[in-house]
Amino acid sequence: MTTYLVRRVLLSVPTVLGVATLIFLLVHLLPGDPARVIAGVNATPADVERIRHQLGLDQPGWQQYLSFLGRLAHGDLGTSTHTLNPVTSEIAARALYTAELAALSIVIAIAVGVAAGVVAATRRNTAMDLLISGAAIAGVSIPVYWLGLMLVVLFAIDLRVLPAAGAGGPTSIVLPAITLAFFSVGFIARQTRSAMLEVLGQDFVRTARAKGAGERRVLLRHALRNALLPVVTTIGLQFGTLLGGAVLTETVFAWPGIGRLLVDSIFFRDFPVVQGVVLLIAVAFIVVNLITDLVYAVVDPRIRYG
Amino acid sequence: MPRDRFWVRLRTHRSAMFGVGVLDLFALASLIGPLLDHNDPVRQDLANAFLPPSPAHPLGTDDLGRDELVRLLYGGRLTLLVGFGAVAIGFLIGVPLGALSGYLGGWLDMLTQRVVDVILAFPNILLAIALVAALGPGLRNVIISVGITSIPAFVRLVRASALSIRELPYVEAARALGVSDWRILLRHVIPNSLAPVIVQATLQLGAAILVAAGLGFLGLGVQPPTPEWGTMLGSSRQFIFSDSILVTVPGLAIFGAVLAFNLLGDGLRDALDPRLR
Repeated sequence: MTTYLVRRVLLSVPTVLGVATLIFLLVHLLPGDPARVIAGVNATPADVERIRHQLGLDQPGWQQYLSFLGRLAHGDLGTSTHTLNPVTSEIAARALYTAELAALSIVIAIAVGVAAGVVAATRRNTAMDLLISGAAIAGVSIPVYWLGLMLVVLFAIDLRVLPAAGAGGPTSIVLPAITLAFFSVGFIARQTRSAMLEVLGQDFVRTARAKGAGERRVLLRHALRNALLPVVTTIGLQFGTLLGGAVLTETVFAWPGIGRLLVDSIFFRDFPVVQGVVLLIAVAFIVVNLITDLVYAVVDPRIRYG
Repeated sequence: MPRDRFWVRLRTHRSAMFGVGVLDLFALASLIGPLLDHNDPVRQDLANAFLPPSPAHPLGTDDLGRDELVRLLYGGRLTLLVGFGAVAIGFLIGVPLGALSGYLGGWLDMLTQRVVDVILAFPNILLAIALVAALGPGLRNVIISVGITSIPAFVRLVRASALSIRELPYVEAARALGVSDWRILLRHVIPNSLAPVIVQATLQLGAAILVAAGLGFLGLGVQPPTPEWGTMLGSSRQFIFSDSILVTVPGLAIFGAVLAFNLLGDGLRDALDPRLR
């Protein structure tokens, strides 16, 4: 077990390195000259040259790459070219908002998604199943940005019960969290339904029923516990989509998280911040998948990796 | 599996046929629609901005006095073009790469899988955002960016099939007869791994449309005044308080197209493997 855990953790190191490399390559394809942008329209060529030197943009590409990795290893993501603050503090100021939004959404998604999936599977091919399955596929098909806007029209403009944007009071997270959770609810419900159907057809469920176990006990203790394993993987995998969706949701609701920071920074051509946010989101996704795999190995006693 | 039984199962799959119906309607509307109406989708007419729906303008006009329905119909062409273009890139690069990777194995397989791991570490929309930010906005770059994000799924799927197909007796027989690796790949490995790929391609069409429109919404996609659904949604966002139909309609169109591809994809999967239903 320990060998597996250690190996699994070590295997994600090259992936993180690959992610950092890809981001470096992408950022250096960005059109526009950051030195010129920072210097402003009235700058002399000498000013632009000085800033270029300060940022290290006058060095050869491979040298910039090595110093990028070196600084990364020390937790240094560079300096924002827009605000001139360290990128880490720019991100730190926003990350909690995104974490809060993502956490609330995932809780909603797991609670509603698993419950809906179990209900649909146990009432297979009834009107209830049709309704849940239909809602679930609608959930994974609806554009998150449009859903957000429609909820704003309904709850903020027509009914005037919730704020349309910003992170002011305690109610301001409600609409963004529901919006962001929608896709995951649909996804988790679909996976839970098919995992439950698979398990419900197996011998041990019939045995449990034959022993005279109550239907509730059969469903929750026997079926759901086994069906949850693939669902755990699903939850981990779609966490990436959730983080991606957060970028769009934060833009819709002017939620001050790192997604909005990313989009704003692209328009400011603030490439150190773009680099930092993309890196943080990718690494967060890698870590969540790592945790999912580890949880899976711990939870399922049948899995004994060499 | 006999082919005719597959078609019977697909044709009797109600939600898949609903998806096909919606897609037919979209295709027809975006092909013929613009021909029937002589309103220019980009010409401005500020005197007639924000008109409510009327017989002359069934969905009203936008902030620059352009007919919303006409723009929607032209936008449909772009949406389908972006979807098919992006998935074609994913298919044409992902399928051969996956087949080679799984069939040949070795260092090529190692390298491909590590690169795929890295790409999959990025949420789809995030990678597309980063790529478009690097390449610049516009129709061509959106297709390329979204196309790249759809490659890994094809690679993984075809590789898995190739791994099992290469061990099958008929492939061994072909090899024993001296058939070249290329021929085995083209005649046996790729054709026999296509069934799940077709399901994947259909689902990817929905995903590609969703991501491309998301880029448009953020202002990073197809640029105004071109009538792309996501871009239309993004640029009419500011009028949400005064004229919410302008945000309702393009989003509904995106939703409809994505839902239709997802229903069809689910139907194809059920028809190919009824046990999973």
